[in-house]
Amino acid sequence: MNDRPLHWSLRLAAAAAIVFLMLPVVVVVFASFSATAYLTIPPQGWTLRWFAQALGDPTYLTAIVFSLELAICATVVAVLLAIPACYALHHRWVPFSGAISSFVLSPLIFPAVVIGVALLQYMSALGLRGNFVILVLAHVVIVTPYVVRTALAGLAGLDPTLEEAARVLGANRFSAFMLVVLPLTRLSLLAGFIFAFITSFDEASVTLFLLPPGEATLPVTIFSAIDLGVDPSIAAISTLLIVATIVLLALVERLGGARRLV
Amino acid sequence: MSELVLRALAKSYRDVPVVSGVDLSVASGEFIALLGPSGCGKTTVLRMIAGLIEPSGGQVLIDGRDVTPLPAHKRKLGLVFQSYALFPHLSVFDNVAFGLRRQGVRGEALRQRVDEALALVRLAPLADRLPRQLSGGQQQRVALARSIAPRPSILLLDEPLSNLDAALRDEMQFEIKRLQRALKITSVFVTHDQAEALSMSDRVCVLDQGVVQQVGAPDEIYRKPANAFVAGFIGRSNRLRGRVDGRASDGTLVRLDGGATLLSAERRELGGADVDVIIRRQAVRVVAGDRGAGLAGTIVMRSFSGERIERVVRLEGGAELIAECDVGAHQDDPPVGAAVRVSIDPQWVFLAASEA
Amino acid sequence: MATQRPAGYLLITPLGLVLLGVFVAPILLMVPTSLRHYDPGAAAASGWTFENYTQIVTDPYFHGVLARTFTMGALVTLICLVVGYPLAYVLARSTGAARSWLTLLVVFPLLLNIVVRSFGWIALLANHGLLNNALLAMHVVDAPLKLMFNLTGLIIGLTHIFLPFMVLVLVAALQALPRDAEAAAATLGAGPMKTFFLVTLPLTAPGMFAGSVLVFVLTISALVTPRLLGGPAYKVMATVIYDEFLSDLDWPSGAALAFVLTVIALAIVAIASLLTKRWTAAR
Repeated sequence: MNDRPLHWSLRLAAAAAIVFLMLPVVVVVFASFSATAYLTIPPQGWTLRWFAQALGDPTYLTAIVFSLELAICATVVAVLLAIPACYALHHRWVPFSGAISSFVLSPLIFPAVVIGVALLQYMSALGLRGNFVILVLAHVVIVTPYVVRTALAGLAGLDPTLEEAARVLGANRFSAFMLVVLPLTRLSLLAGFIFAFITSFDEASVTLFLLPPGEATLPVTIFSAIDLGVDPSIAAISTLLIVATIVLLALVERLGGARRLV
Repeated sequence: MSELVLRALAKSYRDVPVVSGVDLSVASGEFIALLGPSGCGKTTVLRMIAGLIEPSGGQVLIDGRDVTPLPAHKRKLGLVFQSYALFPHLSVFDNVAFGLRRQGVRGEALRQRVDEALALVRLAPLADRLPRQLSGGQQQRVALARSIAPRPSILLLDEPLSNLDAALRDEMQFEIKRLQRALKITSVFVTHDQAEALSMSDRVCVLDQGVVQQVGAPDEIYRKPANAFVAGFIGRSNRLRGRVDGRASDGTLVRLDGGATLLSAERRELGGADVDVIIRRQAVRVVAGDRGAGLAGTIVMRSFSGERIERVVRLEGGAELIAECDVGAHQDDPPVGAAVRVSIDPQWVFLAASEA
Repeated sequence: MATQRPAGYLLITPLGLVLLGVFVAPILLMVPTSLRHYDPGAAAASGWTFENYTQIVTDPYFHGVLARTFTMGALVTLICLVVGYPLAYVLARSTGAARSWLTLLVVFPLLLNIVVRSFGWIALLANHGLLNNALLAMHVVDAPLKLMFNLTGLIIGLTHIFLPFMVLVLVAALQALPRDAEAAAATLGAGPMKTFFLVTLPLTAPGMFAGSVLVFVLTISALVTPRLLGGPAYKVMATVIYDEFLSDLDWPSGAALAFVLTVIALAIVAIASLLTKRWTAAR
């Protein structure tokens, strides 16, 4: 079975699935260069003006900046909180490590809309509606599972005797972590960091409820724009996002990290 | 160099004892082996000495000081791991320098100490390599250099030679012994290979199922095993069952299940009549011909392993014994099927009450 | 070696506090809100009532919402399973560069913005979208196909979002298959179809189950895609919650619905893991 080539129907089905997955991406990129506001085959002409329009639009620009600020804050906080926790969980220094790990990972399947409205309510009750810190913390909750997953996997893949050797040679736990564990797991951690960043940047379901007045993240801005009608500058911004995602994904893959998600 | 004392050292996991009441004193500069089969607790004992495992009971004393509450990084011991545990992201130099850096040694002094350590294991030219670029034997030497560079008072070795092939293992046994002698460092060496333990150590501590069976010089362990386990584990032996058949002036007579009667030099009073009989293979001599002194038997199998000849002899009554002799020894070499006479030196017939 | 240490609590507390304070506490606090009366003008008024919950059970409007949500969930899960299995199979059996590429192609959409993906489908399937424009231009149809802002468009969009999840879970299950199982079946005379149905499918059933549970739970919780692609008429639980909180300002009702959604999602996951434990124990 290992060497028998797969039936052509199977490969066709797989190819069809891949085409399906790539279709909207291709359409978006296509639309962003199309000269007409309507999308046609064959295309009526090519232009870059939608990009100029999108990048010249202050709404989009401030949204990009806000999204970046939010994503960076959330990801950094998530990493700072998650890595010590993962170390303790990996070494089973707390009871019910398994249950705690599951709890930390639970936001992955928890309805995001519920997190959003619950926090909205909570913030109102506390008089903190639209508070940036709470928004960051909400993103931290959503994004931490990605860091935890890759960090735990990275720690599990590390030879335990390496840390022990460091300790016997005179390094305390912290030094052993910084000098041996961290350098050897940095690829996993970096992959987790990048996935967390991307997730925060792309997040919309929770963010919709928690935005400070007058501010918006990029996904929310696009969301509102779509409500108003299909406009190729949306496509242009989307294409930029697609390119950015490809670059980051290539970076993760280059570091050997994309495999860590599978 | 330090003196190491283990007092009533014990470890249990969830009420399952892995090590029970180990008492041991290791003198300064002594090389002692912890010997036993897999799972006997020897590695657990070593790790408790190192501080990597917290004992369930007992104490570890170094130079009279109780270090049991001290964490591993404060004990100033050296530990060579079975898998070497070299830091893959650091060069040989940085690996060896690791312990020194933790001690605050820097600059020129650091360089000198690292070079010194590498010279001791004869690896100086490889200082810039990464561990993955080295052979198994070289990695092992780096591990050794790394552990002695900080000049620890006690060196611990956890089956360091298990992953090496036979020729390399022999060479490294000499290397380690030579190093230990030169540095006069108190050493505890864990192994499951009894030949290795006997040849390298000043004393051997035999463990089984977490309990010390016997501690003594290699000679003593070999000639005067304290119990059936040690007798069977040390040297290559035959294990048979029998019944005590009376005493003689120079020992005890034992009748093997299967008929033949042997003399054992054992003088101790044994608990009952049923006994385990352990006979060292080297003590079984084979003489061709079916007349003369000794037990009658037939050669059933013969094998030649380069340095030794092994023969299986079936005695009258059915019991089978493995006889071994070195190739150079002057012994008859009758073919398979030949009738022979077998004589067994009573000194090497060990008896122990059966635990059936 | 698994000794517990007080330092462990110290390391885990910051994360624990954030999760408890920003995740668990707000959700628990929804319960009191959901038990209040709806008072337009104020977000919630005084007095306790169960009406927000009872209306979900009695009001046909909510019946419709729930039915639509679960229908959507079931359809998307089924399609993801059927479409995803072949892709997962090919991925699991691939090696080297092909494997890297396939993995990237599957993982890439996961990282892409949900809003962008939904927009792509709108651009493709809307009345003035690419597909309809092409079909009209080629005179294949006279009027645009209604593929967007209805259940069809929504299903397509949601399938696109959640297909990678299903594929990744299935790949893990397929890789865990003993490689010789299929070869053994072949030597015993089973053709490829029989081998698939008698060997591969049953052995990957737990993976299929896990993937289905994951996709189902994620689908019934989805907000952005139903809002963008389903049109204002197609209301599901998440979009109703959104409207109640941000448009109608009926927080008690929204809170009750949110709580119900949470309980359903958690219950499904809990039951699924119980079942999985029982099945794996039975092996």
